[in-house]
Amino acid sequence: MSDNLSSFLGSAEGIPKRVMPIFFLIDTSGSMEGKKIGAVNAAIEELIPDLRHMSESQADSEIKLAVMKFSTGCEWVTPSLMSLDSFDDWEPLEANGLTDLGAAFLELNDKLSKNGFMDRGAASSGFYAPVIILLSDGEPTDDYMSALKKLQANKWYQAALKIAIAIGEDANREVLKRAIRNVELLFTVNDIGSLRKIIRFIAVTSSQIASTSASVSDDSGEQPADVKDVRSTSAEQQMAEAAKMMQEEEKEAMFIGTESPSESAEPAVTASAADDDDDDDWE
Amino acid sequence: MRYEGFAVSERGYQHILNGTVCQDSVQYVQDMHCAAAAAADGHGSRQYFRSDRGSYFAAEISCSKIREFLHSDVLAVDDAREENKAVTQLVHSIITDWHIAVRNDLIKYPLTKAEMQKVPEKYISEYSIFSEEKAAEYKDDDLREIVQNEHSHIQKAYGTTLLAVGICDKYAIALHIGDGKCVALYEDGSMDEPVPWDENCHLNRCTSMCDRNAAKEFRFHIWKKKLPAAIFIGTDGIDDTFAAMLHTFYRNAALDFLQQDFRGSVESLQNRLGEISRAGSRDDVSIAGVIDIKKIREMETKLKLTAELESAVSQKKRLLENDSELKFRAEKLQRLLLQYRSKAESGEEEAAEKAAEYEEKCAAAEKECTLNQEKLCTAEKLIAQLQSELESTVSSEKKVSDNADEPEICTETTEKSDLLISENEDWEEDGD
Repeated sequence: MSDNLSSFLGSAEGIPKRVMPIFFLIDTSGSMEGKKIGAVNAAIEELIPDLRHMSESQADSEIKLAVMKFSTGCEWVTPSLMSLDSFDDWEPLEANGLTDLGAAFLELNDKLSKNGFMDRGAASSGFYAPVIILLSDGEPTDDYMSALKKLQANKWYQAALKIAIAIGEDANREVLKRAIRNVELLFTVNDIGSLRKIIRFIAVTSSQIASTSASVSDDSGEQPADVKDVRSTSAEQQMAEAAKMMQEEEKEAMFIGTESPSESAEPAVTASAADDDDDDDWE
Repeated sequence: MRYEGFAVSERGYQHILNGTVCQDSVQYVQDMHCAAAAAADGHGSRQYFRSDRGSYFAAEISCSKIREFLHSDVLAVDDAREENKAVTQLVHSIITDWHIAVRNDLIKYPLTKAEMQKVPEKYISEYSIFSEEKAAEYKDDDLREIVQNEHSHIQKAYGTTLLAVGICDKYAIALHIGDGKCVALYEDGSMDEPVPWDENCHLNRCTSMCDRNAAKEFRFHIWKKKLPAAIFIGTDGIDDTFAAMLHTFYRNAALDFLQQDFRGSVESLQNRLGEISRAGSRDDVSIAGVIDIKKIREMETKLKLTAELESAVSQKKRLLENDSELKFRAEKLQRLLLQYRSKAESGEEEAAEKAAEYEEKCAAAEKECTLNQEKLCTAEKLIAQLQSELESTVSSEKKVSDNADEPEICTETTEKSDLLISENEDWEEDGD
């Protein structure tokens, strides 16, 4: 009995996998040249096997990445959300130009839509709330405020788990704070070892959290009150807690500064990470 | 009455793991005149701790009200305004009776200590009146008045979506608040989702029976004369599982109703739900609906061909997505190859080795692209073949019907503006 449903459910087209989208917005302005962009490139190469391992352990979902670089203007490195296989040979990003963060926000707003990257194609049964990771080391050089306003009205953006990494002392943390909802998810790094580790940590942990807290109703008791949907808020809390745990574990080897409402804006001092480079500082 | 109703529901796989009750409810009723079915999905967040009861009330009440509505024959008028008015009254009566059911449930079963712990801090003093501790201090009428008070939020604990359909020989109606999908299957084999979608339902946010403006948030659709062969309503556990393949799923489900007697088919569908939840959304999964089995049998060949065609088109889409990714990879590998060749020519160490490695990868990538292209061609041929078969089935059926009665004039009403929100006050209140 139920021959038709049996064949259908057993086929590749039957129950599509849900996509866990991760967006990287990477500052490739001139100030990122050298060790900073090198660390970003290395980090992305290193995190792919971890993400693949995670993706393979979840039968009903699939991690996909989209990468945008922004300097003078912005450009998608990937033409859409791509499976992890497409990142096996990472083509290193190069740095030069300005820091057109506004252009990046506008472009992200455009792609966070059904007509953009969030198209429920045949291969997907829909999306978990996206993870958006923004990396910058400087000051925006265009009108980012009006672009950010538009982006903040985007429903996918509202639901997303948003994380920012301020690279070095010249990064404008206020701008990054405005871009993400939760200031506890603004990470500040001052050496390349930390940068590599934090990128990897954030990408792996956030996708783990987002895919387990954003799929079905979860009465784990960790939901804040007052909304029918609590995914991204709960995910933010979990992410912030995971970050704190990581900091405590790494305190002796490496100190990473994170913004919290009560902390000063001064970044923490960083120690050298366990890395082959003689000098992990930017300069 | 040629339509039969059915309703199936299963606790979600994730809910089983979490120890959460099933928050979906389904119901159907049928008699000699009409059939009605409903599916409701109680909200999952902590503060909606009685949403399973809320969904139960919604499904029961809406089925009963729609049945009364169809019996009253109020849609016999051919006047859009009068129809609108009648549907508005129907919606209001469903919401009113739901609130009464919620009120009576609260009075009969005050909130337990465990439930009070789930109440958001800002509502604790308000909800505490309904706790086991304090409720006894009040008279039932006083409690009823407190719940009825427009500032009362206690209904939120019972928050739920609702999809409901009803059909008789002359017309059909579908009502919808919140997420989930209503899919109609027609005699010509086509399918659609005629109830307007509410853009406020996104990811895990949706409108609700517990919203203050619930009446305005309802959407509806009326069919007259050109009635569907079947109408399926499913909670979001189903459409989150199948997404773009939802129609194909329902086509196959409809075909399976021809395999055995109706109730046997319903049982088979019920038995499938656990597997669907586990492999898909992991949420509670519920489907209800009304089906004209005779019509389905008449369109069996068309349904099969369309379902196969949809699967083939979906496979083609997947191959096209693969194609795009493979091309991206191949182009990237080419660029890396050129880079390393250039470095090798400049005498860089290990560059020659890397270049050789990328030459191999480029060759492999090209091979994959070619293979994918071949699969695409095969898929396209299959699609063409199925389309041709479907066209000849349809045209031979058309010849038969051309010789029959005059075609029916189709009138349908889809309304959004009078009942629907432009802004939902409660939505904004509940948001961040």
